[in-house]
Amino acid sequence: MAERTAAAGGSASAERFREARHAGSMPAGAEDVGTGRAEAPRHGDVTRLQVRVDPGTGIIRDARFKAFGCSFAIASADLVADRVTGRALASALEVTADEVGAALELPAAKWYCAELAYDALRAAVADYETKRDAQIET
Amino acid sequence: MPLLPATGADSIMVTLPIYMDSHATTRLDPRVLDAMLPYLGEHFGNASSRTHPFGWKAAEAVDAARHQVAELIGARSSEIVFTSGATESNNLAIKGVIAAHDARPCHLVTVVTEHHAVLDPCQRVEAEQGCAVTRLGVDSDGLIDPNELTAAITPHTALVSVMAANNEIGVRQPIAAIAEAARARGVPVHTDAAQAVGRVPIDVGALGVDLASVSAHKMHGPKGVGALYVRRSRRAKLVPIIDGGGHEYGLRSGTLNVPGIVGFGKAAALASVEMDATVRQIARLRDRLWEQLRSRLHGVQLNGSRTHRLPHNLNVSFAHVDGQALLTALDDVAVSSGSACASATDEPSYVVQALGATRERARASVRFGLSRETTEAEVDYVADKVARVVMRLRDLSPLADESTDAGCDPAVEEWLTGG
Ligand SMILES: Cc1ncc(COP(=O)(O)O)c(C=O)c1O
Repeated sequence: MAERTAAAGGSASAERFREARHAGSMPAGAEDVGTGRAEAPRHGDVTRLQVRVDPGTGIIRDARFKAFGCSFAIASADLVADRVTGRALASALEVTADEVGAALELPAAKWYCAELAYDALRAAVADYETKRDAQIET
Repeated sequence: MPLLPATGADSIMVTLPIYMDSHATTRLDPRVLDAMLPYLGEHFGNASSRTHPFGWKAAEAVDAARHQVAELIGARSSEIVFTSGATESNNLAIKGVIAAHDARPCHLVTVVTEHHAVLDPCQRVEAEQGCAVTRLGVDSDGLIDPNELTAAITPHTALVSVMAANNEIGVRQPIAAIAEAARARGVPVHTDAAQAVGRVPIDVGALGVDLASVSAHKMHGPKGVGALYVRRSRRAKLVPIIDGGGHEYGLRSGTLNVPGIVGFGKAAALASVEMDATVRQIARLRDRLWEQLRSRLHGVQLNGSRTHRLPHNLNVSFAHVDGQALLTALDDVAVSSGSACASATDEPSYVVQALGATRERARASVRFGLSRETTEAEVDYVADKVARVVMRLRDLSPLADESTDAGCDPAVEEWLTGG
């Protein structure tokens, strides 16, 4: 491999994008998996985020994403997945879009990519909670 | 998992990074640099200094370069006006002709897929000089219909400006037919030939154009120098846009960039001699790249005509892939993309969209620009790496997930055709 120069995209987001570790999917039908999907209609980007939660402890054991979009969208999704892994579901949404945007040094025009990842996370948490609550009721 | 696991292809003997972005610029040929160096050193004279050997030496070199550039495009020396590049040449041609056109109303015809260096001067004369502009559309191959052009010409049309070859999709417009149609109506024709001259044979006489823009750095010459060809016979009326000492037949004032012009001349002379051999070699490598990408990936589509195309251009859309993401993953290959994220604007390639393509296909477009320096090993390396990155990005894409039906993939075809 060639040496990576700063100009070749040595930025925080480009590194995260290239080294993305949380790509993938989990069975959306599984009881312990929450799945969220968010779209940026103006740009056509789509991010899907999934969390697998330990039902006993309420800890997020694993998080996976799939994203269609530029490197910033993919890096944002990967970072969100990384940051929520090991967290309690209850505090997962404390990982904010601003925190992700700042950590990846996103340009202002790409801030929406962090928001997209956050929206997908929020939807995934809500999906898991809905499943869990439905189970408690039955 | 890292985005791109290393495989055997990394061991192919190529020097990284690989440059495959020759529409943006080309490497200065070492022989061009050698020709230029004395004029950055001992021969520093001003070509307008008519009274001493320093000036004579510079003027002599400029004359020789003017002859070399003229020869490359089948013009006479006296028809070459040196400028700072094709952007300035386009501005001089468009603003200069419209400023010289006294009659109102005034009208000009151009094409939606032109470079901004044509579109923006047209927009300015439209806004500031009340010159109506017709922007012709293109078909799915990227070509204009000469009949449509004929129909667009009115008694008030002052200029027709159509590019010889497109900078994104490499599509070559039928300039000879266009010029014939326009000249039959007495309308002068300008062509932005920045991407064509020095890369494919261009003869301004055979094309029948009145004005043609040329750029040195697109043909292994230096940046910041170019020319406007101005036909002498039946010369189009032209007002300069830069006033001053009256250089360049009064059409472009300013002390001449002697080293740049010398380099331009040398690059033109090299192209005159070597083009025939290199054009075939480059086309073969470009076709090899296309075949390899097509055989390894489904959901790839060529943007622009297969046949009316520069031999060194390949522009391809990869379904379900964002071009900017692909470029970022290709950290050791220089190519470019029509993705909005890869440019300063917020809109994916207007050129690819003009073909009738969806915004998705436009954002998925990748432009490969080969050159006479491209090797077979480079093509193989790039094809392999692009194929692997595309597969990986599709793996990452929820869209591919949602639409792929184990192997056969009608959704990809639908996506590409905009259905
Ligand atoms: C078609 C076309 N016209 C004009 C230009 C501008 O040329 P220059 O860089 O010499 O100003 C370019 C180069 O980007 C081009 O591709």
